[in-house]
Formats: sequence, structure tokens, C-alpha cells
Amino acid sequence: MADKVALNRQLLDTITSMEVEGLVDSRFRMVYSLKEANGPFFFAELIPTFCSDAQTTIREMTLALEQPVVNYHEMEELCMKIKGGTLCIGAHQIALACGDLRHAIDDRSKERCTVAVDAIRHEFLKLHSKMDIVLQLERMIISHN
Amino acid sequence: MVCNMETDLIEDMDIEGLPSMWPEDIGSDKQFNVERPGGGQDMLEEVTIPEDQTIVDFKRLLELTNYTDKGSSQMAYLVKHWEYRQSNAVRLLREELDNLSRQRQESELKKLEILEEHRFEEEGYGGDKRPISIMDELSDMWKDVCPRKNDVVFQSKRVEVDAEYDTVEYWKQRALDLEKMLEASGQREQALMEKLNESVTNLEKQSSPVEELSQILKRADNFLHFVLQNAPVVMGHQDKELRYRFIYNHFPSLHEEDILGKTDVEIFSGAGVKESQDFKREVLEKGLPAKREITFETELFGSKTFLIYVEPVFSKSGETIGVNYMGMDVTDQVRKREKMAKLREEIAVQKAKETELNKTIHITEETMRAKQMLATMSHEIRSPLTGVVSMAEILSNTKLDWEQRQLLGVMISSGDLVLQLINDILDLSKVESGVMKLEAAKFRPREVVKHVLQTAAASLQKILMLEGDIADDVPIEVIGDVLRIRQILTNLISNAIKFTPEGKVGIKLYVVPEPPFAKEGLKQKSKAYQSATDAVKEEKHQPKSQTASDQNGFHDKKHGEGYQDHKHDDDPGTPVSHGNSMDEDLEATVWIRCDVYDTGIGIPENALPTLFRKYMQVSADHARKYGGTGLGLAICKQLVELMGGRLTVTSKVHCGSTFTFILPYQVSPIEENSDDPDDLSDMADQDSVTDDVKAGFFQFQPRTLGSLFSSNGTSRSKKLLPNSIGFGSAHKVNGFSETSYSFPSNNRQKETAPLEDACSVAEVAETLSEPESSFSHSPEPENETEVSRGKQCHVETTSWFQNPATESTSHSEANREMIQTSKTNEPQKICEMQEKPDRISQSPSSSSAEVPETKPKPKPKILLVEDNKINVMVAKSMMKQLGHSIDVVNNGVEAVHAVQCQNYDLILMDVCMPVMDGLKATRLIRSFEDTGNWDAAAEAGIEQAMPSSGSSNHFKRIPIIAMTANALSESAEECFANGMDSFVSKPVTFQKLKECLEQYFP
Repeated sequence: MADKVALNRQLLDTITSMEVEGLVDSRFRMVYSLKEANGPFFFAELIPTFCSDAQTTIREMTLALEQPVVNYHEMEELCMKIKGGTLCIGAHQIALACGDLRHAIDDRSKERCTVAVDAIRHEFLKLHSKMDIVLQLERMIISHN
Repeated sequence: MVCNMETDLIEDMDIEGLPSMWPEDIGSDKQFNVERPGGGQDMLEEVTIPEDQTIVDFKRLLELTNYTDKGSSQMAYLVKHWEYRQSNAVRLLREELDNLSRQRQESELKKLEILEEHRFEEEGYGGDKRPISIMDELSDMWKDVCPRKNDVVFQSKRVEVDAEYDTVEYWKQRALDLEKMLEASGQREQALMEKLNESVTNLEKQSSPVEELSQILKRADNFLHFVLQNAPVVMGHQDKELRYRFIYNHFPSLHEEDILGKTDVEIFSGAGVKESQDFKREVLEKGLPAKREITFETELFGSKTFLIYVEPVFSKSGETIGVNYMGMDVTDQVRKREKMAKLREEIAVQKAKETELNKTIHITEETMRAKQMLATMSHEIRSPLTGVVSMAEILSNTKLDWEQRQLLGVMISSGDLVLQLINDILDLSKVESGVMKLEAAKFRPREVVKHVLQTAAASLQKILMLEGDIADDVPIEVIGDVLRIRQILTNLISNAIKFTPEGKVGIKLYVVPEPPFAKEGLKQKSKAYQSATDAVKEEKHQPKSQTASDQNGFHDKKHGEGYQDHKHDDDPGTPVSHGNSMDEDLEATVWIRCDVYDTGIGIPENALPTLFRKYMQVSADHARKYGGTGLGLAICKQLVELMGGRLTVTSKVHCGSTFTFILPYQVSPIEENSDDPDDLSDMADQDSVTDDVKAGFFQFQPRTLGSLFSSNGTSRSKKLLPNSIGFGSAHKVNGFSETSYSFPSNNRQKETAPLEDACSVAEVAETLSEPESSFSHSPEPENETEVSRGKQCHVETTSWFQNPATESTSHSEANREMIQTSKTNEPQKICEMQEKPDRISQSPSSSSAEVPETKPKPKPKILLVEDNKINVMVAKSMMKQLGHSIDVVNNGVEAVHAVQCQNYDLILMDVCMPVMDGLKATRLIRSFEDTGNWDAAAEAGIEQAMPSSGSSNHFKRIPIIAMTANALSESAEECFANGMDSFVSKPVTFQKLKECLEQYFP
């Protein structure tokens, strides 16, 4: 039980450090707190879903940008998709990068889109490593139950 | 030089012609030995060889002459004769040569002249150039001459004497030879003469320059004549008295005899004649030529402008004897010039305007950018602020002691205040930048007034009488932007309350005839409402299956009948008779005047002009004393004007102020209440409500607040529903006022046991779990108020009880009970729990009369339309935490299917989705609700999944809440335009979700 408390604290510390780094905002903690009402597996399921979702979307965006003629409508949908997800989970930095991408799409600027997608990927990778830690901790907590 | 050469030449020839006849002592070597290159030398050599002989011969000849007198005299004669002939020939030749060289020179000169004439552009006519070129030509000539001379010389110069020297034979032969030579020389002479003659005739044949010149002159003369005849000029000469002595006029309008001998003034009259005369006289006097443009306006040739050049003519002694005058018609040019000047002027004006416009555009752009920036900034500020508030919310979920909770309450309410302020600024900038669009929805003015007063009364902290007085002629239902009107009313009322320490505050509503500003106002308004009213009108035409029989119960007879009469009349333009003073125009527009009066401190006259300005308050003192930003009235005014009305104010210091606004409304000709049978039946259940529809007078007094409000609570929540299309945005706009006014508890607390401000503010703010705790901590628990909150609690407490932070807190018994249930941690139980809080919150209020209100309601069915898995997960769990289970579909098509299969009470619709977006899905669902069939969906390619169940329910309007990550308010308007009822921007927070749910499941 002491382990679980320690793990819990560690997890909360990690989340705090992520917040301090600006990777996530208060929303992330709120989402984490949802676990209380939705069963212990909620968070452990949410994170991988988010990660794989974001990865897929980023890949699709990269592919879309590699086309000779960029389908901005598709880009917009993808952008909204990833933005919705990141906003929902509180991945602050990615959401900001999504905002840039949105502007770039609005301006129909392929270069800026590429830059923005790169930024999203970069932010995502940064977040991903942290998310992994959170996920590990969360899984350990679950296994302690 | 030329001469020298000639002599040389001639002497040369002499030598050759008679080499042996020269006396020895003449010294031929010096005189004749001309050193020349080429053929000349050869010739000399040839000559010298026989010369040795001839020299010998000469000596002999002399001897001979000395010997015989006769022979010598003969000889002398011959020599003399020959010499004469010789000299003659020389002279002729020289003449001939002179001639030739002169001719040559002449021709060269001519050639040069021609050359120069043609090349004057290339090489300037230099004085020193000509001699040089002549010299060159002459040296050429010298070369030409040499070979000719050779030819001549060699043929006739063989002087050979075969006979022995000094014999008779020899002399005879010699004489013969000489004779021959003489003859040859004569022949030559003759040939030369002929040539000379020839050249003379040639010369004669060549035309003389005089003739040529005269011809040129003739041509020039012709040309000048031609020019003069065709030139559009008038030329003339006038004598000292300015009488015409000579006139040349290309356009003779008068005969010469009419002109000559007369002055200008004598010939014609009109404007300009005198001027020209004076001008000529001036020139005459000054003796200097001058030019002037004079415009004549004469009978003779109309209005014409002449450019006149006058120069004086002098006699030999230097006196002026007259003027030469030349006039040219430049009317066209002058006209063109004037036109040009005008055009230039216009261009300059245009340019000035353009720059001005550019400046304006620039300024406008700047302003727009600034406004945009302001909006963006406000938006940017709002986002982190939401973070702050939501963090505070989360914090309030945790275990806190009472003081911390108070502080947190202050924090949240302050945050809400800032949010409200930012919303104000956004509103203002929206109105100013013309982005604000108006909704056109049916609403009941009486209800609006009542609600505004109710909410105001709820937060009343002074003893004030709140009155509402609505005249009978005000229609029961009108069309307008209820949100904005509420906003205006709320704003004015809260202002009135703020500045009224005691007495009363009230709203008076009555119909007025069309005001004078209506004409222009109408245009504006019609523009603003345009799209929205169309939609409403269409709606009106839809055939309704329900009858309006129930309605009569709600309306007074007159109105009811009025509406009934028009029920089957499909023409919306038909004016509806609403009795007495209504000014009926074609649009069935009614002008309603609204007075918001108070008995407050009043407004000094000097402050009135700046009253409606932004950020303006009467004085700094007021700002300190009463707070506020000074934006409220500015927004009100702009909103009223946007709707095509006027906002005015009259005020008297210490007596009170009256804010009056007159707005046009469309009258809805057909009663639409039948739309919502549930609503009606609900209303019918409550007797207290029936009066509301027609009630013209309300009064709210602080003392009666509690009971009044408790009865209102139910009616309001029910009745608001049909009216409050777009209620979500109401929350956004005047969310603070709404939420803050909805709980009277704080008010009561304040009255009975005054706490510090912080406390009341904290209570005002709507936080997640605070109600229970505030009850337990409040110094005097108020059962009544609690009851009024009962409905709220059933949601709030659920979330609160599930919060782990509350585990260790000890609250009321009920709480503990709840905690125990929640500890089981089983999701299925949540449904159960959900109902519990109602009962629990009921328990302390069991003494209250409000038992039926707390009956557990059937769980509302909620549909979430969302494609993003993460969003689905989070939203689902949030709803779970709020005690709702939801169905989830992933796109618009699925949403339509879901609605076809089941009845939902609420749809949360993502806007941006693949396959079919939320807007379209909403349109399809709405079209179904309007028409009762899914034709529109079928058209869009969605086949009907199942026969719809419970057809009667399908006519109920399902509230659809838009959820979008595009947080700009413009997209909110898009949502409303597509039939959505309200709008939640992502990320969805507990607070937002809760607000929404409260609206639709009170």
C-alpha cells in the first residue's frame, strides 16, 4: 500500500513537472482525476489511445504535405482532429503548434504547414517520452490494486 | 603655287619642242633642268643625248651666220617668227590652262559645296577646312596633267637631220623640219583654240546662278503663297492711326474694302475689340513687339480667341509708322487648354481625395487591426483565465477548510468578473466591427421583463422596490433578439440598482407610434435581422398539426382572438390588430418603448453627453464608489442602435434617471406555443404561471423575495426553455449576471447575518461542490433557499461526492451516507447515486412546500456526436462524473441515424467531423423536426435506419449543443445559424458542461 502511495505521488510529481515545463496544462490533471469516476483503467487506456491517434494523424499530415498538390481541406480536418485531441487531454504545446498549423493552412502556405507539422511532431515526441513515464507509473499503480 | 607649276610646265614643253634652238649661253641647265620624279627624268635623259650634238650644231650655226649674212638674216627672221609663234602659243596655252584650272577649281568647289550641303550634319562647315580640301584636289590635278603632257611631247619631237651639218642640204632639211614643226605647232594651237571655244560654249551652256536663284526665289515665293493661303491666320498692317492698310485674311468674312482704311473699332464691335485696339496702340507707343491672347465676343464671328502678335514698323528715321499684326484663331486650343486645366484640377482633387481615402483606409485598417487585436487579446486572456478558474474549481473539489473555501470563492468570482469584463469588451468590439449578428426569435416581453427583475431582485442587497409595468397593448409575443434585449435590460437595471440607494427601480413597457428615426433605423434593422427573420418566417408557414386551443387559456381574450383570426391567414405581412394605440405598418412592426426608471442619485447634466461613451463614468468618485468599467452603457447603446432603435436618458440629480429605449419588433402573427406541447402542459400544470403570460405588472420586494422566487424557480426553468434559443450564448454574454442571480441564498445570508463581501461573492459564484459545505458552515442554514437549489444539487452533489478529496471531510449525515456509497467505486451505482442527492438535499428541507419539485426525473438521454476518440473518452467520463451516461456516435450521418432510432433529450454535437459535419447533421435533424419526415436526410444520402418511434415526440425540438475547437465567437454564430441551440468551446470543462446540462435539464 505504501508503494501505491509512493507511486501515486511520483505520478503526480511527474504531472506537476510536465505542467511546469508547459507540456500540459491543468486540463491534463483534470483528465487524470476523471479516472476516479471511470475506473482505474481509464487513464491507462486514454494515453495510448491519444498517442497512437496523434502519431497516425501526424503521419497522415506528413503524407498529405508530401503530395505535389496539398489538399488543404484534408489538412484542415487532420489539424482539427489532432487539435481536438490535444486540447481535450491538455497537451498544451501541441495545441499551440496546432494553432500555428491552422493559420498556415488558412494562408495556404505549404512551407509553414511543414514547419508547423514539424513543430507538432517535435512537441509530440517531447510529450511522448513523458507520457511513457506516466503510463508506466499508471500501469504500476493499477497492478498494485 | 598654281602659277608656278604652270610656268614650269610650259617651259618644259618649250625645251622639248625646240631643244636645239636655245642659245648656248642661256644656261639651260639652271633654267630648264627641273627636277621631277618619274617620267620627267627619263624625258630629260632622252633630250640630253641629242643635246650634245645640238650644242655643237649651234656653234656651227653661229659660225654660219657670221659667215653668210643672208642666211643669218633669214635665220634671224625665222627664229623671230618662230619665237613669236611660240610665245603666242604659250600665251594661248596659258590662257587655256588658266581656264581649265579655273573650271576645275570651280567644279571642285561645287562638288565640295554639294558634299558639304549633304554632309553639313556630319562635319561642320569649318572655314579652315575648305582650303585644305582644295589643296588636296590640286595636287591630284597635277598628277593628272603629267601623263598627258608626255603623250603630247613624244610624238612630235623627233628632230633628226640626216644631212651633213652646215650644208645647204642640211639647212634646207632643217628649215623643212622646222616648218613641219611650226605646222604641227599651228595645228596644236588650233586644236587648243577649238578646245577653248568648246569650253567657252560649255561655260555658256551652264546655267547662271542668277537664274537658279531666281527660280529658287520663285519657288519660295510660291511656297510662301501657298502657306499663306492655307494658314489659318490673319495678317495685316495698320498705320499709325491703326487703320488697316493691308489685310490678309484666310477666312474673309468681310471684303477688303470694308476693312482697309478703318480701325478695329470701326469694323466690328463686341467684347475684346477694344482690348485688341488698346494692345496695338500700346505696341505702337512702346515700339516693342508683343504677343497676347484676346477673346473676342462679336456678332461677326461669335466667341473666338485669337493669339495676336503685333510688331511695330519703323520708318528709316526710326519712327514708328504703324504695326504689323498677325492673328491666329486658337479657340479650340484654348478650349482644350481650359478643359485640360479643369481635368488637371479634377485629377488633383481626385488625388487629394484618394490620399485622403487611403489615409482613411489606413486608419480604418489600423483600427480594425487594433480591434481584432483587442478581440484576440481578450480571447487570449480568456483562455489562461479559464485555466485559472478551472484550476480554482478543481481546487474547490479538494479538501478545504472554511476560510480557504471563502478565499477560493473570491478567487473564482473575481475570475468570473474578469471574464465578464472581457466578454463585454469582446461584445463591444464585435458590435463596432460589425461582426455582431442579431438573432430573430420569438419571445415574450413580459417574461423577459419579469425575469430581468427577478434576477435583479435575487441579487438585491438593498431595500428597493422593483417594478415591472407592461401596457396591455404590448403584444404577448414579438420577434427580436431576446438575448441582446435581456442584456440591455439587465445592464440598465443593474445600473439603476447600483445608483439607487432607496426607493424604487422599474421597467415600463408600452407601444408607441413609429418614431421619426424609424426610417433609417428600419433599414439598419432589416439588414441586421435579414437572414434570421427569413428563417422565422419560413417557420411560420409550416403547417402545424397541433391546434392552438390550449392557448386561449393563456391569453386574454382580445389577443387570443386576434391571433385566432390570423391563424389560417398565411400572409405574414398582414398587420395584426392589437387593439388601441399600435401603429400598424405593413411589416407588422411594433415599436415598443421601454423605460427603465429609478429614484437614484441621478446624473448631472454635464455628464449626460459622455454617458454613453466607452470607459466613461460620471466622475472618478463614482467609479471608486460604485465600481464598474463604464462599458455597460456603451454596449447598451450600441446594441440598441444595432437593432434599429434609440437609447436616451433623462435625469435629475437626486431625483432619479430614466433610460428609455425604443425598439422595433416584428409581431408574430401566429401563436407558436403549440409547437411545444410538453411545455404547454407543464405550464398548464402550474396555475401560478398562467397569469404570467398576460400579467402586466410585477413587483418585487426584497422582503417577499424568498417565497416569490421559490415559485418562480419552477416556472422559470420550464418556461425559459422554448424561448431561450441560444441560451448558451446568453451564458456567455451575461453569464455572470445569470449565474450570480440565480441563487438567492447568499442574499438571505447577507441580510440576516451579514458576512464580509468575500463571502457573498464566493456564494454567488457557481462552484462545483460548495452548496453542501456552505450549508453546513453557514451561520444560519436557510431551508427555503436550499430548496430552491435542490435541482442544482442533484447534479452538483454527485460530482462532489465522487470526489476523492471529500473522503475525509465530515459534513452532514447525508454526505457521509453518500460517501459510503461512492466509495464502492462501482460505475453502475452512479445512476443510483444520482438520484440520491435529490432526496438528501431534500431531507433538510422537508418542511418546505416544494416536495413535488424534487421528484426524481427520468434520466435524460444524451447523444454525443464526436469523432475524436480522446474527446469521446474524456467527455464520456466527465458526463459520467456528472451523473449522465451518454450514447456516442462518430459522425453526422451516424448522429442522424441515432436520432432516427431513438429519442434524445440533448445532443452534444462536434462541429468538425468527417463524413458529415455537425452543422449539416443539425440542419437535417431540424428539418425533420419541422417537417416530420426525413426527406432532407434522404436527399443527403442517408437512408432511414428504422421507422421512427413515437412520432408525436419527434416534433419536439431536441436541444443541440455545438462543441468546437474553433473558439471564435463567429463560429458560434454559424452554429446558431444552423439551428444549434448553444455552443461550447473545446476543451469542454466541467463548468461548461454543467451549465449546459443545467439549462436543458434543470
